[in-house]
Amino acid sequence: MTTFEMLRFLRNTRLYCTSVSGTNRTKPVTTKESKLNFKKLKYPTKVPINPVLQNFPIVDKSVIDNPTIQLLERLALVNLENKEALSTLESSIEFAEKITLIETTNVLPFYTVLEDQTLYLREDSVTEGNSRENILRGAKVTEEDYFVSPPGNIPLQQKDKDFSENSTECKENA
Amino acid sequence: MYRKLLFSKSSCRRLSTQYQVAKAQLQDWKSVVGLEVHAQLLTKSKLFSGSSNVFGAPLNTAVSYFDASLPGTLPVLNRKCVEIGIKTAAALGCRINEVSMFDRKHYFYADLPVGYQITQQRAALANDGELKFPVIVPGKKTYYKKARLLQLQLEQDSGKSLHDEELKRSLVDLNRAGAPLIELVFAPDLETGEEASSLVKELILILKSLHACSCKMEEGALRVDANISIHKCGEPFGVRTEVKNIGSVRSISQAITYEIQRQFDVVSKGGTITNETRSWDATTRCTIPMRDKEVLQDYRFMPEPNLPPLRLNLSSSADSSTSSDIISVASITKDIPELPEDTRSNLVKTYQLNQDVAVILVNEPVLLEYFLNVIEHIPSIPAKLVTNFLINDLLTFCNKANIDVESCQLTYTHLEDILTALNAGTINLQACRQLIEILHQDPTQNVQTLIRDRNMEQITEDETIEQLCRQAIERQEQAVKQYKSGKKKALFAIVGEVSKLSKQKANMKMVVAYLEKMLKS
Repeated sequence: MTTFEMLRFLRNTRLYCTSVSGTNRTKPVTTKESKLNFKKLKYPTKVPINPVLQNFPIVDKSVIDNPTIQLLERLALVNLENKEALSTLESSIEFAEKITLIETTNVLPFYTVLEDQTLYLREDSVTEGNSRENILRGAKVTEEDYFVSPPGNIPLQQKDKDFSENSTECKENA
Repeated sequence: MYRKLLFSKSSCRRLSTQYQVAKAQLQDWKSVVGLEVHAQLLTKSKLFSGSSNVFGAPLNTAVSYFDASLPGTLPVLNRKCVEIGIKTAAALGCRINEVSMFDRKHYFYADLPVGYQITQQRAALANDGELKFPVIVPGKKTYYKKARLLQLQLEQDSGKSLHDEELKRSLVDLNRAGAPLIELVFAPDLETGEEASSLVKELILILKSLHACSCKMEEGALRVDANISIHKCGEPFGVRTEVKNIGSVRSISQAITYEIQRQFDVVSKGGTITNETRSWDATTRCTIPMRDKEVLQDYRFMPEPNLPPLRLNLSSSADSSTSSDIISVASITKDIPELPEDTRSNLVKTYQLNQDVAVILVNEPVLLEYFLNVIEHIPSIPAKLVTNFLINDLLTFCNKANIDVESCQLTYTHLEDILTALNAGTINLQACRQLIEILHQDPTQNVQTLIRDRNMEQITEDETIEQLCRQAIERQEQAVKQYKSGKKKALFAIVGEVSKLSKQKANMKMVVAYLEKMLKS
């Protein structure tokens, strides 16, 4: 890319943050000054600086049944240990549910900040590979140049969990 | 384990007869088949990384750091994959999209170490194509069928795992991880297993002619999943099952036919079909339920944040002047070669071939090449003689010997010599068949020498033929009586006798003419 092309490219690129005041070049830049001063931004952030109280209608608290808990545990590979964890999960869902109440008709989804860019294409040639030693180095267990993993896609044996007040499991955890 | 296998085998066979009965009971029911095809692209490197895309590399050697999902690595799209995608889309009459995007489809599986596959879901490379293909059903007339192509998308392949049942572990080879695929999603426009296998056959011909895919199903370069359901005419589609693990074109038809009949059987007995994934077992010829997917999988699709939109130039034929990353669709599609359907209609038009003959020739690229070469080099041989020989004799021989035409040892020179001798009347068809057999065993032999040394020349002298016919008439008294009383088919018995007497060397046309003349008087 020539310097001219580079300049043209830069000019065409949308700048997301433009500082209002020009930078003083004569002064040596100190670390403190080089930090972005949000108050001086031409286009300040749309995220409110102070919390805004929104009145969303109260939705029924979601009830998570046992099969769903088991499915979530399988997907996340994290066990739901006690009742506290369950109530955290429920309140997280309640918090996230609010997003469904926001009016989005006629608003096009914004997928990526790179939306106005063009995907770079690489020529089809082999430039990597043949580094088996390096590739396998991070693996805990290997066998004859294979990675070794637990058997996949076999449903794990799971016990039903009882989070009701009088369950022994809860008492033990508490 | 062995007993279990035996049991399932016998029960399968017993069931298949029940299915015929079941199908007869549900006459106003219809079967619906939709296909999803994954084709591995013929490129040097992978879809998003610079590691090698070859089949059979030593374990875990064709793996880049990106393919192994090491932190900090990023995908970089291979230009060639986009070009092949455009070519295939154009050949299948798709609407190619100016802007397409990539998404993440999440799985939890050891051979997909990053936890998601990069694919195209919201905005694919191309949509709304159509594939028209001839359906060949043995014993029925060849007909044409159309299937809509809903979507054509670029995506990554996963690695391969070997499951060690005894030690309860999986061995993972990442050589295939990140290999480029195109997924073709067809609408449920088909009805039978034969239609499905014919669609795949046509697709293979197209992909091969575009040099898009090797289409070697035994290597997994082309994989077919079938969605199958049945419903009563006029009612909405039934619950579908998905059949995976279909490893050959022949199995496609078998697996789908089996699954349709199984569903008919379940429904006729008052049962219901459950939405499940089944696997085709080629040895027992049954579909068996797979253990995963009791719950509808949630793939948690999300836009791939590391890849900006892929843009194509639909308007001009030159690559964009501002960016070399915008491929001009017209510059790719101008190089599309003749497609199988064009070849067929050209054959019918140029050589006045029968439609069915053209279908068979195009389906067997070796035969087509032989045909075109013979016609070009020895134009004196009529096209019909060549196609008859290729299809009725050479192809039949290969089918009987259970080999591909490609692996038949007969060379093109042999073929030319045989056809020249046959056309000149030096040898008859029986001799040709013998020659094919001999030459397949020992391709070093020469056709002319073989004919001379083994006395294979056709008998055409009038006196000899007449004498042979007289002998045959004497031997086949009963057939003669039947023929004279009006049973014309009895003539074949006498002709066969002549053939036997002459050691299959008599000119059959002359024999028939002689016999008819002699028996009239």
